[in-house]
Amino acid sequence: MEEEAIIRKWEDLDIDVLVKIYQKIDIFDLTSGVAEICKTWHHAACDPMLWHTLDLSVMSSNYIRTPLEPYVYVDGPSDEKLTKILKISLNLSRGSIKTLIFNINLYVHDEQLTYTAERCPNLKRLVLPAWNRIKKTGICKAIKMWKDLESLTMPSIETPLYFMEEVSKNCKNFSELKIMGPCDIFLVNTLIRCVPNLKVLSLRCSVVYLDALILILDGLKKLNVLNISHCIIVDAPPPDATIKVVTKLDDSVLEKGSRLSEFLTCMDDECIMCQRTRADEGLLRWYRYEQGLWKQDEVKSLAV
Amino acid sequence: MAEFNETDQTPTVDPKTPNLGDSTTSSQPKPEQITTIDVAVPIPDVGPQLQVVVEEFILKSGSDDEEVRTAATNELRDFIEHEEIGITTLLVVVKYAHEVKNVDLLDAFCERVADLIKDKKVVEVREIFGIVNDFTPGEEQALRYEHPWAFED
Repeated sequence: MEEEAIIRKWEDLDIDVLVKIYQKIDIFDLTSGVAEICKTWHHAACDPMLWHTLDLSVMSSNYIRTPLEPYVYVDGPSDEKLTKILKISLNLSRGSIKTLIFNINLYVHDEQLTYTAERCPNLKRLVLPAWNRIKKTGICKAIKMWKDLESLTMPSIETPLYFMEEVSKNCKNFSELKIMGPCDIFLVNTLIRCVPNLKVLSLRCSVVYLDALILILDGLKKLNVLNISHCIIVDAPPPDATIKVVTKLDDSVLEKGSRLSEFLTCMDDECIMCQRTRADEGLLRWYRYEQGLWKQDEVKSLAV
Repeated sequence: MAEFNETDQTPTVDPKTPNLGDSTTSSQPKPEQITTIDVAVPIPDVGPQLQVVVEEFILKSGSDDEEVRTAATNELRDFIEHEEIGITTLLVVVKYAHEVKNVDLLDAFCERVADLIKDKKVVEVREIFGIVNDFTPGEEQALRYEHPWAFED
């Protein structure tokens, strides 16, 4: 038949078109064999356009909470599934990944983290909200491989100094930080010491101590954007006085805040996020609420 | 894969075809028409029904009115969803859309192709699209070694 001569095969389809098609399938389909079909389809699956961002916020670990550290247990198949997706994605992406997003209940362990860090050396933005199964050695090893890191979303950790020192040594362009947890004076001192050029900071939906807030405004000289929306601001004066929740920021704080290009606050009894932060005593239980709620941020560059 | 091209070999007498004729004879798009330069490239044989749909879409997609463009896209997507487009025809129209650089047309048909790939195994996709595996056994072994799970049943 004449048509057969004119009919070109799907193997010969333009790479651009294949990439366009691949952009319409999810990460699970992209990593479950599309790259094995034939050589041109494999070539298209490695296109950098597909891999600027690896968004694994669609994956969750199958886990149970436990009473002892690390406070979660993740089952074997769930871990294996993540390892598989990581291996194939990192293989196909060939170092193109600039933004990497993990879900709030995707509990990555050290090996997975290191494996990943080795294979995306050009990473600029990391969203890693769950560190339960990550050890100090693991995160430090990973940070050393991310020299271009600019933006990080992380949980609050007990002793941030060891970690921020590594950031300070390795990540010369680091400028944006979101901490999903309480902020006290020790944390702020650490930030001033280790990342003095910080431009953007989000602490939304957590407890922020008043002295820490003032120090942020005074001490982080390059700060442009500060988000303390829905936070419980706590004034903790000397030991014998009682702890007070600040309901309204006073003029001196507002004046300092006005020097920033964006000073985002929300302290509103009617606001649902403010209510939830209070109900959860400053440590939001994201699993109780709408899926994906944790991804929001009033700062556009930090929203997922 | 025995997919016979469902083309109608006889030329169709289609009231809409004159538009195609008009734009191929003039090199400048007439300002009063919403003809785009795209329609100047003839649509290959995709069957009379699909040809009409594609032509109409191309004309409407050139409109300045966003509502017209949106309606056209919805109509096209509806058509694609409800009508069976043979795999060979799909390839032809995808290549055509790419050639004439009509982003929305290409997008709509790429969506259809994506739907055919979703949730399928490697062998299934090869069968659907009539693709021959051109990896050598050695190369396949290397791929398999790297990620054996892709070949699990």
